[in-house]
Amino acid sequence: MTDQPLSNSPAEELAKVTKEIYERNVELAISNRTLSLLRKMYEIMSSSLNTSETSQRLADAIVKDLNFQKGMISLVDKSGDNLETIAVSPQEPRDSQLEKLLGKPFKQFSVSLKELENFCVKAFTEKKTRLTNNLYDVFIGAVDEKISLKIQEILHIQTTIIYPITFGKETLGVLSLGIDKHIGSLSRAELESMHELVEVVGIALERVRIYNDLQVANEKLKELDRQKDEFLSVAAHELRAPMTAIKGYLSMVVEGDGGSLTPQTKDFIGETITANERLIRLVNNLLNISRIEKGRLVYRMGDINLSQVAKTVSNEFQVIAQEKKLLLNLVVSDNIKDLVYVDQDRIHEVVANLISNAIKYTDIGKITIHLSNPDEHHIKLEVIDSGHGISPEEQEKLFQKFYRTGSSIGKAMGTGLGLYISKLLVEKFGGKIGFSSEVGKGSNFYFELQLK
Amino acid sequence: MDDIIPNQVSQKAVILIVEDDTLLIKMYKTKFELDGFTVITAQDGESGLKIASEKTVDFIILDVMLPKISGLDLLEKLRQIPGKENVKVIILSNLNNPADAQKAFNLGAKEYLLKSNLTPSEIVKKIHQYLNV
Repeated sequence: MTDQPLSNSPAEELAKVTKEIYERNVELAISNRTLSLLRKMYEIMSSSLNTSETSQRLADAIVKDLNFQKGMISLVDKSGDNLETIAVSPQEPRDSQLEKLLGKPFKQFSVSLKELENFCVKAFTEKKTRLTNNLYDVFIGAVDEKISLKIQEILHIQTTIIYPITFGKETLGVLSLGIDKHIGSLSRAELESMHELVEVVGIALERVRIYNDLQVANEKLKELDRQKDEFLSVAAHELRAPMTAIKGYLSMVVEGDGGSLTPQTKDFIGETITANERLIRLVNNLLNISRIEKGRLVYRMGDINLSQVAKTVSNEFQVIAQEKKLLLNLVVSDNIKDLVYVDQDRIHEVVANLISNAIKYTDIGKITIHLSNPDEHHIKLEVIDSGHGISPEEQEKLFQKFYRTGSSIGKAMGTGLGLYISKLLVEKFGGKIGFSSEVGKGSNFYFELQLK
Repeated sequence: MDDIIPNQVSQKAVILIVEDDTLLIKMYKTKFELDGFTVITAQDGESGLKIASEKTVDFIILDVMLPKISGLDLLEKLRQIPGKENVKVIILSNLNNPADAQKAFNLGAKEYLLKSNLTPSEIVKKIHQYLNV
């Protein structure tokens, strides 16, 4: 039996404690370093949305702060078949030596995911950290063995660690780090902190990727929107020629250019002309919409008496109102001031639109067009109906392009552009348009314009 | 040349219609002739310019979007020909384009009108109005 000391001598005890304190201090230093690096990485993450820029700055920060020789970020490319090097931390004058050796910048590497012996590929597909003392393991399939060894020599790399960069279940690529010492010389704390850092790299790159995907989707939507505008424009334009011919010939017939007509034939042609005018208006709306939006519509501004416009339009709609047995009234306040500076045809269009909507959505009762001066500088035109009224949900969407109320109950007609265009026009003339409505009680659509 | 159809009667005012839509040409020609004009037609900008520069034309009804050269280019070239500086022109377009309209007015067009807004007889009225000035 040998003697077992019951306790260490005080000197030994002190040495042990000192050593422990030292180790703790080192750990603390590593934690601090990691923390400050993490903060730097979050800053990089929030300041860039470009894949190669973000990758480059992350690789630089890691290599610089942790005293590595080289850091390289490779990401899986769009095809999903290759790992492509996106960023390599710089290190002069060694980089120039490498460029001479390779005949190209030490950056452009791509390795097929089929190179199963390649450690980057292994780390990527197995989602496991890989370690090697032979740099060729990293370059299999991209650079030949001899050159790989020279690279290793020039860069003073002893060990290379390859981390998979992951986000959730997805692997985005790998981060390879070259160190000038043996792996055993790295402490457990250092190795652990590396995992945290790689995780942040994953988050940062995923964020950039999502952003870029959104950008692409957004561009596609814009392109589709442009194509839609162009299609509408071309379609409307093509429709105009035959519509013009129909309008022209009908007018010639009704004016007697082809001989005299019976009163009934004249009536029939008259109805056809009305229908065709409506068709022309619809097509013009389609064509005008993109022009108003792009500010390319020509306005013929002038001094107009709004009550005169209201009278004309209400007369135009009398027949249609009577067909639905609706009473269409025009009420003009006494001593009304009604001179406004607008485009006559366009304001006519707005009034016609409001009245046409009121007739369309009213089955019983009456429609009143009311003109008044809410104050001495403004005129208000209201179209008050006793129709269905509009539900609060529908009210929200009313002035949207292509929106048609009642489309769910099969009552919709028209292009759904009327109110949208009316709003654009009234606002163009410096006025405001609005409505109040209650289901079952009817609606009041109005606009206000400044008096001349 | 089947796009040049001169009328027999030479005493009447001569109107050149430059328009690429066959149906519209036929319509305007019918109406204008019924109202006593002599009508010549061209279906593209190039032949329109040729006729306008070689023949005596009192009035031109000019489309903008035309094959070969556009109506506005036609007008610009025509104005450079001596004796053609003041030929009366009405632009009859399918498109309400402010830039085109401005250019047309700068080149001395009387009006810039949208085809679908007018009936043939309304156009005849305009022609009479400008011929009588």
